[in-house]
Amino acid sequence: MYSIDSRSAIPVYEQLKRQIVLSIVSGRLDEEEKLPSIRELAAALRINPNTVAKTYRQLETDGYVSSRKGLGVFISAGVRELQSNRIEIFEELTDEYISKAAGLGLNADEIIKGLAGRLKGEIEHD
Amino acid sequence: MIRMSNLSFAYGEREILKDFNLELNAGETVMITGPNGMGKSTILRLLAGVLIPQSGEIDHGYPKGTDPRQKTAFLPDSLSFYRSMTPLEAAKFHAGIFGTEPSDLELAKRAGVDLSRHIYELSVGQRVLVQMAIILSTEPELILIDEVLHSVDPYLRDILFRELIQVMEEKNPTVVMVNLNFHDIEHLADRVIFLGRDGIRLDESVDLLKAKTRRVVAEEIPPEYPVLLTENVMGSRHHIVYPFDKKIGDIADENIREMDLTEIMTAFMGGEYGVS
Repeated sequence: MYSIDSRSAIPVYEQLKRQIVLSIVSGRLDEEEKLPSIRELAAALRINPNTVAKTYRQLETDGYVSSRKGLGVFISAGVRELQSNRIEIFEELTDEYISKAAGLGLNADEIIKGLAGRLKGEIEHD
Repeated sequence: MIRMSNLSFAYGEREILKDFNLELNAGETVMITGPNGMGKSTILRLLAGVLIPQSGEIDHGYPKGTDPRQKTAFLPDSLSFYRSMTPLEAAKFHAGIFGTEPSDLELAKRAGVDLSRHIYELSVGQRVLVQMAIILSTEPELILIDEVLHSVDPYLRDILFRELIQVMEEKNPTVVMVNLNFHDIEHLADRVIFLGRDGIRLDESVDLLKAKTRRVVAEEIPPEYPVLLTENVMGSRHHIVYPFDKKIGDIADENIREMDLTEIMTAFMGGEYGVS
């Protein structure tokens, strides 16, 4: 389920959009799957229904979903395979990681070393 | 679009609003906040048509001859509403005034209200839900909610907000709420208005306001920052900066923090009281 960070300066429609895109690209939401209705999602998150409508409109413009008249909004077929979407999400996750690590007072070298160490560890575990 | 132009209103000698102007766009949800006694509730009552301004005018944008009260759902801060009636009687009475079908009181039933009891015998939360069920049944284009929701318990609050969100989604009414506490409702608002001593101190979209306000934690901050309020929090100095444009000087990123609406409004409130 989605959640809104009240303390974030990122607008609610944008927070919601990023979370839905992540669900699509990571495969948590299947292609052709129906998104919750605007009313349902607005009530569950207690956000303005116009905000959800804005998120859905943007997702449609970006090609992630398509709305079918009278039926609802569905995940577009083939969208998960688009490499550009994965890269975009990966870049966002990386930015988030870097800013959090920097928040702990780590410099670029330390961040790269730490990350490389973890990755190596994971590869050896595999 | 609703236009309030050059409104003045006084209770006897006590002037509440003077040359007050405000425009509300159709379908937007506006939160009005500010210290007590600045006229927040008066604005709602004027919009609802239960108070008449001494001067100035309100144009609701309806065709000539329309009584705006018929298209308005008003939840006032007093719960005196139809006290000695049962919810069923109140629904019929209200429908009689407005010439509409009586509310089915579905919302009140969901809140476990015994419809045969007098309204004064119900809990505060139940009274709010009965009132809400009745006023929303008239298919309003304007919904005005004064600060009564904080006395509703979380369970009934959830029922109430689900209903409000459903109405917002179906009919896209203009919604104006007076609130002191934004906890758990801040994401309903498109726009926030802070009413201070000298009238409207702030009128901004919620998205922009949050983008432009930061809590900066530092002993001293460069004088270029417009500081709304400085406070001591557990031994550190917090400066609430508005409008925040970009980082100036040598302050670590983690000491420049984003804020929620309640924190932002509390800072505006403190600024208004001259606390610093």
